[in-house]
Amino acid sequence: MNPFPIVLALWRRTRVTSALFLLLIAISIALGVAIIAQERGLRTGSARASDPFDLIVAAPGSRTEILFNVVYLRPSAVELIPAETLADILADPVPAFAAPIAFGDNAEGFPIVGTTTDMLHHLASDGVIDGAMWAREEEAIIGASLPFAIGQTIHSAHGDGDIAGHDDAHDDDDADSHGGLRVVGRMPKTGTAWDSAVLVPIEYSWSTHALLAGDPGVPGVLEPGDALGPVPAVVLDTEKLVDAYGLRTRWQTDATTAFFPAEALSEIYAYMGDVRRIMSALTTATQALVIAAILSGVVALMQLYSARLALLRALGATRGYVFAVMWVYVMGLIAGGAALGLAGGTLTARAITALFASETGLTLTTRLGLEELRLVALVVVLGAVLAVLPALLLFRKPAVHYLR
Amino acid sequence: MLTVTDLGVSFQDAARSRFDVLDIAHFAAEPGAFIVLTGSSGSGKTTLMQAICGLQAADRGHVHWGDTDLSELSETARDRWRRDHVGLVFQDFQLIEELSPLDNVLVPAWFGRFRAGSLIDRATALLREFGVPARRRLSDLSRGERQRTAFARALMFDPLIILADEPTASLDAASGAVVIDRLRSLAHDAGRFVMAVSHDPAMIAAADRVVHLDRGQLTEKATR
Repeated sequence: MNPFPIVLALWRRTRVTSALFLLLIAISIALGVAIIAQERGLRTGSARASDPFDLIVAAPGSRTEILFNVVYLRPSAVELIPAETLADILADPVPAFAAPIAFGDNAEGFPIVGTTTDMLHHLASDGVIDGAMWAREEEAIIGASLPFAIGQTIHSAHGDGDIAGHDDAHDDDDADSHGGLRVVGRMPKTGTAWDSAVLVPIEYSWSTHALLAGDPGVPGVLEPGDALGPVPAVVLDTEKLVDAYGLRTRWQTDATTAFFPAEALSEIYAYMGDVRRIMSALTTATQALVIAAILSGVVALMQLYSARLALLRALGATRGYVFAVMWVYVMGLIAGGAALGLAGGTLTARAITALFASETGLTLTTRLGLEELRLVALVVVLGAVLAVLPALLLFRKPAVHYLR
Repeated sequence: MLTVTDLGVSFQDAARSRFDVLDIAHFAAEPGAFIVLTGSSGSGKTTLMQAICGLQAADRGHVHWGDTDLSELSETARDRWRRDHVGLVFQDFQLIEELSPLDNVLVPAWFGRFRAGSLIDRATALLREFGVPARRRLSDLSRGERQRTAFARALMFDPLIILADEPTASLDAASGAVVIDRLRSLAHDAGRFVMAVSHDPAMIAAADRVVHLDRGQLTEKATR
């Protein structure tokens, strides 16, 4: 039995309607696939980006807000940890290192992050920092994605992002010490938002905001006795997990909050998960409605072409053959729509990811996962079962009914 | 040999009451004869054709083709028997517009186990014999070529029985004459059982037997 030439002929005859059916199925599946793939890409990408930040200590406030400030460099106004408290944290012998983080300024629209050499080496991980380490406060090491060259001088300004600072540049009176930043090195790619940041010694951030009283010592290296300023957050790195938990308890005080990025992320993920569940339910309902609408359309269409199918019976086709023609016709639309939807959903998720990555600097990857394949398989299986309905409708009536 | 015995077919009208369409006590015919079936509209001609090819199930009676009693066969068995033994030709050709002439001829071959090579060769040879291009678009064929394509399809499995419903009704006189010659030749030269429903005087004149249906009952009008 070979129903395919007749199915192809039916598709050709109903090509506009069939294409519309195919498109409707593809769009409804693409929506579901894009939502799932995009959410997972965002989740894994954001989790990966927070990996280098073992424990964050900040002034009491919203953990989510602090996380966005420190890890994703999405600045907002936060309380500062006083210099005295910072000194206490730096004096803590447990962490492998404690790196203060300061932000709030930009260079040519890119965020400036003040930190220490320890943090830079930690972020670079196994990679090599191209160029040199800071020798002076006014030197910068740029993130891997920034369009500047080593040796170039870039101008810093108060405020964050593109809109801030252009009319508020650190004035020329300050030019000798803080007016420009000379790029001396480039970080390897880290896959974090810090790839789009201008990294300066923490002392630069303190100096430009006149927060230092005393000698800050070697740029980017904090030794006991160095003058310190207040900072929004400190990143603590530990060798052992148990130490990290101990530090988290120790620095959870009235003056500071300490948390693992994963804690704040899990709260965000829980919220994202809820939204995704709602969206997934909506797209599943949409898919069911689309398939139901298409089946209704197919039934109506087949009434129009029933004489054609009856002709097949007259020529000697069995009921089984006509049933197979109808089932393959509908299944072809559903399977074709599902395949198109899968491809379309993946491409859409990738496009959104690329847009999001360019906005945040995060390295996000979107790959098809089991969940999307399960969704598509569910639609195809559901379609395979429901495709029996129009086939059965034609199957039940005798051929002469349509030939009369 | 075809033997129809006590054949009764009835339909249900809109008021759900049944009315008789066919009531044939006896009819017999041998292969090799060209039979034309006449009758006014609604007399049951198409229903008789459908009954003797197993498309229409009878309320009572028997349709025997040799040793095969169609009334004893299941619907699926009748479908398979029809595919192998009956060639149907329709007034309006009933070709599938989206398929080429070759594929139209191959349609009955797709219902069973497909043996591509030999069947394609057979379909191509039939179309060549009928002078129809195998690969042209159907919309580019003349009405005569379309009717000849329908004939080629009917002969795909070299059937013993050829049933034609008003095969010349939509053709001009010249094309109609070709069809009549073909039907006569299939009966006389190839020894097929050929029955055609027709009101065409040329076809009636060419028939070996003319049987008339009047309100479901058969009468022999003329015998050559």
